Amino acid sequence: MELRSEISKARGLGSAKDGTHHWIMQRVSAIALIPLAIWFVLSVMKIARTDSDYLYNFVASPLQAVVAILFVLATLYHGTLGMKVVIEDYVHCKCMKYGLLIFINFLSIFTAVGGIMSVISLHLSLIVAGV
Amino acid sequence: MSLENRPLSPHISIYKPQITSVLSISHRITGVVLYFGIVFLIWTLFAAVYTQKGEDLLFMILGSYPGIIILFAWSFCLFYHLLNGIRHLFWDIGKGYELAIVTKSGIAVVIGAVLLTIGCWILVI
Repeated sequence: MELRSEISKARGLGSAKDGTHHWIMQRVSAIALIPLAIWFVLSVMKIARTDSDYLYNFVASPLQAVVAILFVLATLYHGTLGMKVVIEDYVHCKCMKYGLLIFINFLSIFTAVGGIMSVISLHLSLIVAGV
Repeated sequence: MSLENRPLSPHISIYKPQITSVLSISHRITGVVLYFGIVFLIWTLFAAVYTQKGEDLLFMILGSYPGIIILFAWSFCLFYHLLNGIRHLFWDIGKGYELAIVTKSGIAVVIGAVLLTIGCWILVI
């Protein structure tokens, strides 16, 4: 005999079956972010310490451009997952909760595209200028 | 009585803050701070790449005292969240739950974050 009532199924109550995936992806993106965050810190430090020649070579390097884009994507993905649980924990008014969740998702996607655009355009303009 | 007006037993006001709870909520707080900080940083970089005004704004932030202080605080959040995140990953594979280890690793995370923040900034300034 099933413990769930028919009305609960009709109302869509109970588990959304999304939690395990969220938990796993939070950890996977965290693992990716360990080297990416170290790369980010070292790159910022090196750029701050050296002259514009290094900055030029840095942004023109295809490997650095790839890692930069990966850093943007991983950070915003990991951050969005984190913000999701924070909002779900503290916001209980339904419209505020869903509104904030949608807003944070859109903000992250919007920022990710902005970040990728900046990296690509800077990288390409320096490649072109170098040629 | 409604959900918002019902009487509740005190919880946060009476429970003694401990290394476990304080580090845990700090992990969450630093996470939120890092998220909004990276969003702001990426958009500032975007403006700097595409417009002269954006570039001026970026260098103005990097040259001003409040800008540097906020950047310093954000970098501390980054190092703390990184180190505590690794501590979390060890928990996720089942290691380090003994209370003595929790305390010691917690202290190590805080000290490590302070050292990394100061160390990296000294190397840059």
